[in-house]
Formats: sequence, C-alpha cells, structure tokens
Amino acid sequence: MVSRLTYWTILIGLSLFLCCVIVPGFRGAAIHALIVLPLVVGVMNGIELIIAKRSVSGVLLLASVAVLIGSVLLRSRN
Amino acid sequence: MPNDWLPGIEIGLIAFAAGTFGAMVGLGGGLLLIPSLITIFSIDEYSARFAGLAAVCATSLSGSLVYIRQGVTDMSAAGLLQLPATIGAVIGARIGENAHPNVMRVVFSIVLIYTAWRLIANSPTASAAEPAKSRMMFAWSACCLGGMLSAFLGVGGGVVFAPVLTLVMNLPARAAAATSTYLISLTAAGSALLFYRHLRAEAIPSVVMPAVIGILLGAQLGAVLSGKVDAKVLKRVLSVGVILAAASLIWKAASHG
Repeated sequence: MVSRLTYWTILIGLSLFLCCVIVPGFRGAAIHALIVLPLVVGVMNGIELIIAKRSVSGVLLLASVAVLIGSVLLRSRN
Repeated sequence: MPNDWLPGIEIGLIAFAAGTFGAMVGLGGGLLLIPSLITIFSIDEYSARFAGLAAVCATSLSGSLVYIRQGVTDMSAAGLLQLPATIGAVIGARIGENAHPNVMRVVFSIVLIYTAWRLIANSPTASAAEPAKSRMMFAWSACCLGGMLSAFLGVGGGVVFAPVLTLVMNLPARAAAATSTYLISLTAAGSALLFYRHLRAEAIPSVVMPAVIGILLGAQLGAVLSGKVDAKVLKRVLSVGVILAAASLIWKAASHG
C-alpha cells in the first residue's frame, strides 16, 4: 500500500468519530472531530508525499492546510 | 418516543435516501440533501450548508479509505490540485457569508440543472491534445472554481473535480473518482470550519448529526446496490428528481424575494 500513514489516520479518526457518536454526551465533539480530521489527514499525507520524494505535491498539500488554518484563525480574530 | 426526536429522524431518513441514491450514481449526497433541508424542513441556509459539508467529510473519508486501500487514489494529483481548491473554498465561504440566501438558491439550482444534464449525457473521455502547462493552469482554475462552489453551496465539488481529473489530468475514470473523493474531504472541512461561527448550537444534534449518520449509512447501501440496478434508468429517474429539486429552490427564491 502506497499511503499507509494516510490510511491509518483516516481509519483511526473515523473510528474515534463513530465511538463519539455512540456516547450521547460526545455527539457535539464527534462533529468537531469529523471536521478537523481531513486537516490532520492532509498534514499526514503531505509528510508522506515529501518522504516519498513527491515534494511538490507534499508541500502544496501542506500549504493548503496552512491556508485553511490561517483563514480560520484570521476570521475568528475579526 | 419524544416528539422533538421526530424531525431528527425525518432528516436522517431523507439523508439516508440522498446518500443511497447519490452513491448509486456517483454523486455526493449533499446535492440532494441540501435542497430537501431548505425546502421541506425550512432549515436556514447556514445550517443546511454546514450539515451538507459535514456529511461530505464523512462520506469522502470513508470512501477514500476503500480507494486508498485499493491503491486507486492518485495522491500526487490530489496534492497538486488541493491548494487552488482550498483557496477557492476560502473565497467561496467569504462570498457565501455576504450573499443573500436567494443568490445561493439560484446558483444551487443552476448547478443542479447542470448535474441533471451530466447524469443524462455520456461520461467524458480523456484527451491530451493541449500542452501540459496550459492544461495545468486550466486544472488549477477549474479546481479553484470547484472549491468556491463547494464552500458557497455546501456540497463536495466532485461535480467539478472529477471531470477535471479525467479530462485535464488524464486520469482513468475510476482513479479520477477516487482522487476527487479524497480531494473534496479537505475542501469540505475547510468550508465547514469557515461557516462554523454562523452555526446555531442546537443545529448540531437536531440537523447535522442525523444528516451525517443518514448519508454515511445511505452511501454504504448505495455502494452495495450500485452494481445491481440498471444505471441508465436510475440516472434518468434521478435527473428528474434533481430538476424537481432545482425547481423547488427557484420557487422558494421567488416566493421569498
């Protein structure tokens, strides 16, 4: 398998999401976890691509995660 | 059973149906779910879009899990196209915050009509006639537009990404579908994060959660059923449903002018 780190990040993240869905008090947290999970997956995949010597794709992927986090932080400051 | 559970169950059932039919024809469930939430349940546009985006995150991640395991997803292509899609999503969310709800309804209707046309028309085939550099520029521009639509409407944007990956990046149809599925997860998550501050707290358990669970389960059933139903007939029936959804949104926009 090419993208083991990405695969396991998605698998663990979705499992955590489903665990949170089952427990009544954690349903709000489940949605937050679900929204943040693709960002974590993006970072892991970016690192994986750089390690696999596909640096351009990896750096662009990490840059897109950085753009998203930056714009959310800027928006929350305003 | 308490009465306040009923709307949640109804939303869950609608989302389940949207997820099933969407997966059977290769659409994200959001395109079918959001018009239903707005027209049937009179849910505000922000909550409907957030529910659609959260559902897209769940379905795209679970779909990506299968595709990555099969080794179909082109991670390199996804990495190259993610940045313009993300920039587009940031711009689209900004436009979506300031635009009148009717603008969103009308644009959504146009996208639905385009989707109905794509469902009936034949699938595109890859072509490598143009030089690589101009193709890459076109791919970036198209993905930026796809990201904008995703954030503005609360859908995945696969309607734009999949044809770009097939026609411009020359990926085979299955690899394009897999890469598009992976690509939309980050775009949808970003748009959802940008919309989060407008979301009412009570919308999470009553609207977002049933929608996410319904679409997630429906997509699994749709994936199982997709090989067992005549795709041509299904696409024609669904295209009529999509046009009806577009008409109901236009009607709502006109009546709430």
